[in-house]
Amino acid sequence: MLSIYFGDYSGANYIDNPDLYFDNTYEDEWLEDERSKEMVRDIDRSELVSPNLVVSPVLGSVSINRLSGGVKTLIQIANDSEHVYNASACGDNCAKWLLKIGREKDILVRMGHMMHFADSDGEQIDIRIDNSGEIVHSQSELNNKVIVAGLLDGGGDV
Amino acid sequence: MTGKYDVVLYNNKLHYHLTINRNITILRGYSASGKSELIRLLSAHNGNPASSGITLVCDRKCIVLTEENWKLYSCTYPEKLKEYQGRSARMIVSPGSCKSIVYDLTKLCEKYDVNVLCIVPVFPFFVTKEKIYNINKFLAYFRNRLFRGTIPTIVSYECSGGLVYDMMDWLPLTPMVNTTYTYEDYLKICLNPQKYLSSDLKNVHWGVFYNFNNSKKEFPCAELQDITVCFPHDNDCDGIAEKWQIYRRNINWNLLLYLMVRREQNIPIHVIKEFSK
Repeated sequence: MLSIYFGDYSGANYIDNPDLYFDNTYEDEWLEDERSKEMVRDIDRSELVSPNLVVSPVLGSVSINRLSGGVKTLIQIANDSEHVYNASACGDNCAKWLLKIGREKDILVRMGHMMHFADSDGEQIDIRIDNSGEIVHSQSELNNKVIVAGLLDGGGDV
Repeated sequence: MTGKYDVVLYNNKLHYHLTINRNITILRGYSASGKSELIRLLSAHNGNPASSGITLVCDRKCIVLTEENWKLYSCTYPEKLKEYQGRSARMIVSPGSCKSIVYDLTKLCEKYDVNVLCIVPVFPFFVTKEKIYNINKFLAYFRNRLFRGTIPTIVSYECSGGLVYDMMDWLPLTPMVNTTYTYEDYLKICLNPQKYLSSDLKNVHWGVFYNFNNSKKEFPCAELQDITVCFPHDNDCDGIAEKWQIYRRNINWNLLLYLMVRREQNIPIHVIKEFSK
């Protein structure tokens, strides 16, 4: 299941800047995975040809480092369970992929903003709020729990 | 910031054209929509403007503040106070982190011998030897320029409604200025404002009321139909009923604005649900 910690996460395994972390730590096998290719196709509208090459309709043939911050974060979340990644680096078009990965295995991410999961193709939402342990099944339920508990009121970073 | 600025930034593949007309403009969007590329392009241009192959067209200097260099910039700008050495300057400091800013300013003013009148909106009154300034009176002029429409009657759970009138320099169109209620009583007013706001106060007395931090305190209180109104900012029971009567004559029944405020405590979920109805 997808677990989200809202607010400032202080664990030693927390990665605040997944974009930068990816550039310096990614493993080739992560990029050979069919799901990574699908995510790049869906989010970046680009073709992940090999671990060293991405073909973008806008930028042309570019290196892996030029993938979007959102898709880099998703690839890491899918492949590296040792770290807690800052999912606020992801745009709302990454929401359905977070849910999809969460349906296949237990993942924990951190968020400093409210992501819109409701647009995720009308699929059932199952999200665990890590701060309280509560499980929610809709966007409005998630909004209510997070706002009422003031989980994003800390004034910390997004 | 005055006016608006066009920023054009391009290379052989990408072309950005932004019009910025706010002090802070937030760029947001889906992943892969080009936010990071914009920053990367601007940063590369600034690193070597002439031979980067990237063109920037803007009337103002555009820089990228990163996690490494923002502290350097934020330390450098206050040093501009040096330009005012031996002269006077006026500043309005936003309330975000006013304590540290005012502390730093005081130190720098001593260092550079600058006479600064520093006004912080969270403290509405600023007292000098000659005059008492009310910063909200100054700022209300600008705030009112952004306001369109008629002034509402604010049906407020506590004194924040009065603060809004004060910040806009409006005559309060409500008798609820500087009053507070239990959640249950406030919801009763919301459900039937005509009944309660058309009534006079009765039996003004000193009563025990729970403060926002749940501490018990004695305040002037009064009966209003079947609810209790508390006046936490008043020290005297005299004149409270008359004041209520005078203010309620000004109510704008065509525009009631309901204001629920959370202080230290969380508002119970059942109250939020009732209020949202």
